[in-house]
Amino acid sequence: MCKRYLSLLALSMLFIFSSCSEDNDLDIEKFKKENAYEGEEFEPSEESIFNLSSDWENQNGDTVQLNNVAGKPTILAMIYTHCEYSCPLITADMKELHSLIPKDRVEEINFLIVSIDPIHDRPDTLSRFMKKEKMDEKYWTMLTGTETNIRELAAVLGFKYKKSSLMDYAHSNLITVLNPEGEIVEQINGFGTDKKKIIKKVLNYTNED
Amino acid sequence: MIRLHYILISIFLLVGCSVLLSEPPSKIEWISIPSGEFYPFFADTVKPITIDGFFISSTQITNSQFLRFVKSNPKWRRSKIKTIFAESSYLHYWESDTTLGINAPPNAPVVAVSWFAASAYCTWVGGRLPDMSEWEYVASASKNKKNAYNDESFSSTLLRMYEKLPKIPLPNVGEKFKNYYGVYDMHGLVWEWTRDFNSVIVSTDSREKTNQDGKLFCAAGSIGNVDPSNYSAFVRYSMWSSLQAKFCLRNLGFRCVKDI
Repeated sequence: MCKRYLSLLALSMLFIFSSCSEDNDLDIEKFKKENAYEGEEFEPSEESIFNLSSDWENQNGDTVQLNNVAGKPTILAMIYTHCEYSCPLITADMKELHSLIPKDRVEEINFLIVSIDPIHDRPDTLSRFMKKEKMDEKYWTMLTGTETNIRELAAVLGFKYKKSSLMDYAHSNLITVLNPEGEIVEQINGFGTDKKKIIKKVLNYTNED
Repeated sequence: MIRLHYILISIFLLVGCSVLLSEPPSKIEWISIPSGEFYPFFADTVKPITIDGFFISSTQITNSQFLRFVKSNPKWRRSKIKTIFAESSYLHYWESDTTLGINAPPNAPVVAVSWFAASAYCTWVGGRLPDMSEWEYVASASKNKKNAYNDESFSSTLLRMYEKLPKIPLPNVGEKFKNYYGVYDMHGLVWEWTRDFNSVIVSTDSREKTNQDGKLFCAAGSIGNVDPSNYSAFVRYSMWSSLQAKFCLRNLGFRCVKDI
């Protein structure tokens, strides 16, 4: 008697659960992973780009998140490494910014370059690029991600880009300054801005002040 | 004793039924779109680009579908969403965080959602937002023809539709314009987000080291226009180019696609 009761109970439970089964085709696990902030100790502020929880690969092939650069101000640019037109100018601008930091404070600012070409810029490409450009891993990080993640970061920064041919992209010339919390505090559009002024400003955001 | 069993069983059946009834049918119907060639409106060449096949939701995502999403993902609720991901007008016409209310009919398209929220929804259902070229590829179909952008009557119909887009509370999806592929409301209901909306009209040619502002003259955007007669596409591209990812507009919704 009791057994029959239990099997009926099981049947009716099955009925209830099966009514929810239309959710089965939803990729919930993947979604949770990509949007996992709850329960983590790190809670970004309302305007922080660290709210993007996307996974990226750095020049060493390690999987990292954007909040890896949290805690220090970061100077950030988006380029692709085989670009022959404006990217070398952006890279040169970034290097110039780095060179303008007083020697004793050089460790206080992160430099981050994110590739917009997920197909050609793999971690080994990024690593070679950094060697060629003499970018010390102590201060510089390069990242590559998926098309979706790159679009999302570009959307947050207000960076526009489009594929103009198989290998090339047309894109904004944009350098962004993030404070240690990951909030956008300054954006430099185009070339020829007063870089000394910018570095002075960025150093004001370091936690040591 | 036996009577007690029946009572318990009927309670379970009732619970089961109520679970079924409380969830309106909101499953997405995916339409298969075959691969093909497409002439993008903005392009550097007049060569067509190849579009791989994909699945697209037959209608725009509705209020009830989006409600299910925010119910199971609290951080996308109106009161919880981070300001970096949406303007304050996010879902403003809903009665509350998890109630639709009179201005949001369950089967009307969800609007006033940011690009971030739209992307997150599509990820949740195992898809993504369509790229502009994919969206335009599907949208170029009239009732009976795959590519009808060159039909003058189709183009002028679209422009007439764009002139008088409906207002909140919006009509239901899937009731008006059904195209060749069986996809509804690509035109005439609300505008739609695309994954790469932020690729339209790069402000100036970034390959030149010049003063940017010099090139920001009126109608600079029409320079890349392959087909000037395609004014309806010009309207759409201008709309996309004016957006920012956190915008939440009352005539802007979305649909999702899935890769094959």
